[in-house]
Amino acid sequence: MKALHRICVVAALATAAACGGGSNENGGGGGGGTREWTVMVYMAADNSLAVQGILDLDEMEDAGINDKVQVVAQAEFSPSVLDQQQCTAACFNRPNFNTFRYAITQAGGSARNGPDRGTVSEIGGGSNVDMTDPNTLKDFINWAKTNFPANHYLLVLWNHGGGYTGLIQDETSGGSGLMSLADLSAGLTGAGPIDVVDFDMCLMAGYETLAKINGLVNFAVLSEEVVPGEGNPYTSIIDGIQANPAQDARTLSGMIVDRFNASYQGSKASTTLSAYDLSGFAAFETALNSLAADLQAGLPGLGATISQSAGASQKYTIVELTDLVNFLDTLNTKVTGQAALQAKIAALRTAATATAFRINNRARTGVGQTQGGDVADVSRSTGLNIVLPSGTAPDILPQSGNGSLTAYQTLLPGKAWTTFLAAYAGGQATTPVTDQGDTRFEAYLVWDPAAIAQDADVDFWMLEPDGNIYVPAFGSVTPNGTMSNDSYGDQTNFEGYLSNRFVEKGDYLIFANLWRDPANFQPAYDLAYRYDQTAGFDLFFQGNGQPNPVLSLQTSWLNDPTPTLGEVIGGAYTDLQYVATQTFNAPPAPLARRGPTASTASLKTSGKGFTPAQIATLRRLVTIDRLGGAASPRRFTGLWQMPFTARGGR
Amino acid sequence: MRSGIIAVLVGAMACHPANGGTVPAPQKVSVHEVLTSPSLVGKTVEVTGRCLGYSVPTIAKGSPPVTRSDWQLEDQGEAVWVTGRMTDGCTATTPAPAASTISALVAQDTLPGLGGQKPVARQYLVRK
Repeated sequence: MKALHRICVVAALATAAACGGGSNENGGGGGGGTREWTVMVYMAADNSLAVQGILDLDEMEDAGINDKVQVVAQAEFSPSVLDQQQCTAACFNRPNFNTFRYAITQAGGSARNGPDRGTVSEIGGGSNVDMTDPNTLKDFINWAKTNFPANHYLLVLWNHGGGYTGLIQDETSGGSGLMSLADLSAGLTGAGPIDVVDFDMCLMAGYETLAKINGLVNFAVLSEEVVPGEGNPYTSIIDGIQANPAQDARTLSGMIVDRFNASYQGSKASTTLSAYDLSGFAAFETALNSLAADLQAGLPGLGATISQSAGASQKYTIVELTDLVNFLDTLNTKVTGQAALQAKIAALRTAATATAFRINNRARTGVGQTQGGDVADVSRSTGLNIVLPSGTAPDILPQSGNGSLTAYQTLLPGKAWTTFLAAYAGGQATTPVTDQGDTRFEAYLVWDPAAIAQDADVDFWMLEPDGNIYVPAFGSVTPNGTMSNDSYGDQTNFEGYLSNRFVEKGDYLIFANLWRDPANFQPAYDLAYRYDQTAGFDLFFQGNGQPNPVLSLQTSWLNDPTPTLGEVIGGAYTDLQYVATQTFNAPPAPLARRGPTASTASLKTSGKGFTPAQIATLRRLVTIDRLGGAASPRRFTGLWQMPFTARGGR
Repeated sequence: MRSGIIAVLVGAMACHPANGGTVPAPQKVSVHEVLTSPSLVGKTVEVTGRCLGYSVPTIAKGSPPVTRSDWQLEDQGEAVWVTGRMTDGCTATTPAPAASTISALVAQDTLPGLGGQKPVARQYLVRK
């Protein structure tokens, strides 16, 4: 939208403005009187974002000028990226690709791409400086404060962001590397007070970012997820400052979030943005430290619960980034009965969302994303993420590089979360996984739809390699896949499972369970499955020329005080039946059915499988639920109406 | 979650309308063909190339089309922008060690005309 506007402006002025030409290069300030705000934009656009940088400079000019608000920038643009568009520096109104400083001092809005409404000066005697160097950042801030003093300062860091792995890339002078968060701290240290820092970049709304800027800035505006290429709506934001120059830093921070969010209403891209008051960081970190200590003390027993909670929580493009509050909420549901731990979770949740800390948070999931591409669902974003991998690939910390555990420990030494993370992630066994690529195993138990009217309840059970049994009625996310809704609640005749792209290697055993059958309907069932989401489903039993199995309550596993996996697989029960095994090696082996095995692995496997308490709960629930009258059994031998089209054979 | 699963199933129905049969495999095309064939827009294709990450080097034309974290898929010295998750072994700053094949939808946007140039159409990929 903004780009289109820019095109119109450029087109209108094309005949008047040839590429090239010079701007004033006097440096120094403009405007008069006591300024309330100086907006300092550190535009590192010597990379893939060069064109967006130029357009954003123009947006700043379009806001016009105000004697209470000054906008200054230090910018550079990538020669190689612009060359892709057959552009030289003249395309952004400069004679060369040297880094320049720019103060917008003239009204009228942008008349041509690049700086044309104020004073421009080169730095370093006319060179292309390294924008990833913390001293370069510090020099810019000092220059801006010296030449454009104000009561308040808003620093905009403009570029790429990668959360705890770093930010800002400079293709010409800095190579491929990013400025580290430690270097960001160094760049801000000694630069004097900065009221607000606004990260106009991806993925910076993390605990790690706040920890490194705490004490150096007062307020921060940042995004948990990637940001659209257009980034900030600069005209709107500067208009908002100019409209109320006396607003304080807290108000301004919240305003940026609101205007950013408003500018993307209806956009195909998902957006997140939040604002934090760093004066609340200490209380937040105290609560975080306390929980981290308890989580660490609970390892290794608590490890699987943390892992599952992390995996089920809001994630981002860098997948180990996990929304903190959403994780807390998820974890809280999995540690019922652990009052002390739940109190720590509640305390941290309160601190993380306190208005003294979190000023504003906006997240909106994009609409009609990119002509058929997957939309990034950011609906569970609460403002701040933290590094917390689930441990299931690809949600793991890299072995090396600036995303590794070692790098994290170097970045935030001595922090309680670092210590916990080392114990948790460092202790995570490397789980062998297989990559299914873009086609994934998917299976649904389907049964006679007449069972719905008879109030029968059939459940899909999945025994994953971690030894846990997962059932849709008990949750939608497993370590290796996603469950459908519970069929009984939805009044459907199917429920099942879509595996993740990366799945742990091993055997995945599928079972059919008859939860209740008050009319003694005895539903017949099949298993619909596929390995490609663009293909139809195969039927496991009918496709192999086998009759459809039938579930009944005649011989119940609940009447066996010591049910074993081997007994289930061997066909000992009529209400809990083994269906098939999917083995994931690389590539996945075809779905197979095993014969009776000698396995005596108990469904009550300590630590992994259902616990005795869970078994007891299941027995109690089922016993209550199964109260009901008997009816004549019915049999269906043909293919019943399916919720989707199936292939008849293999 | 429910709607997602239903969508999957509905999608299966749509792609598989009657009595079995399979959906035609995605068309295999090169990076060069994506860049030079507007007729591919709206089609799902399979493209092989090496993920270069964000910026260094920047070979693909224009700005990242959707987010600032879009990445480049390179083949034979040409690169196309891809929005969506990167391939294995590729990060923002580290290219993948080897080529891989992705399934993606071909989309198109318009590059702004800088310095008085004319805006031009550009194809990019939306990874599925």
